[in-house]
Amino acid sequence: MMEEKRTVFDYLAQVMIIFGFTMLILNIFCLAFGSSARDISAIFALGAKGVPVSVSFQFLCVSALLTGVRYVFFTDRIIKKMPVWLRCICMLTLAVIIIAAFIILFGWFPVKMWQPWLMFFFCFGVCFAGSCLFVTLKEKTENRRMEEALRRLKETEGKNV
Amino acid sequence: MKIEIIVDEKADDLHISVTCRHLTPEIEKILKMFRMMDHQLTARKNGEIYLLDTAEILYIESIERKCFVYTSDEVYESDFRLYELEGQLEELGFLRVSKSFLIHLQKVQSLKADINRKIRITMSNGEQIIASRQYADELKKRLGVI
Repeated sequence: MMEEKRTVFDYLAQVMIIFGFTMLILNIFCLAFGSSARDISAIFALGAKGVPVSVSFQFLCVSALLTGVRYVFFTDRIIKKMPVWLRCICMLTLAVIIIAAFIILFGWFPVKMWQPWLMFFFCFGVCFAGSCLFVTLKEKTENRRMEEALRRLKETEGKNV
Repeated sequence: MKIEIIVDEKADDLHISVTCRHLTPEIEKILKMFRMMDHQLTARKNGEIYLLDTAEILYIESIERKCFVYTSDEVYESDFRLYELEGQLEELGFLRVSKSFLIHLQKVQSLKADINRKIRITMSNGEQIIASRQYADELKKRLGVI
């Protein structure tokens, strides 16, 4: 059996998953806060009508970059040996830097206002903590299931061999 | 070459008899395969031939087309290729977990999910082997968790 190789289409699929989910959330935000925030944020320039096309492309670029960062830190193609906690820290730091650079470059919100930054870090922190919690719980459940299955397999195959 | 098979319902055990003018590498390989049916693997160490009980084996590693058999405290070399051993030892509780490793499931101490859907396997002697993504799915299937 040959090792399964990832193609450029797997990379594109991952980009589209991040992009699609982000656009869904942003459009919900537009419906909720678009009218009141249209004058201070490029994201809400169209008010409650939705996210402008230019901003959509900016988010597509962010999705591609984040997928690239994920490829670097969460596969062992480039970095062979690195503890998982260090991979998470590197991924988190680079993600914050990339998003902050886009905020400043494209005026997603006024850079000098502290409230949007606080909101950004709060939302980012909640999403990151949530996904970490989900992954940890999933991993623990999977490990427990594998351990139980291994014990059962040892008992049954041990009797037969 | 003549092959004679005698089916005898009264036979106590499987009896295999090989008659040849001299032993060739091919005949020796066939004999080694028969021994595997009897849960024994022929392997070499320091020029000497050893008959290993498959229950003693922790894992088998392939390095540059050579196969090394690891027990808890010794390393032996096998004349077989990894795919040949995989075919012979599968029924004895061995499983291929990457391009280079065949592990004995009875000798696995613990399993842990690793990055990128891989599985980190800790053997009973504490050594760790990584099951690559596709083989990890095979391992999960064997365990019955997918």
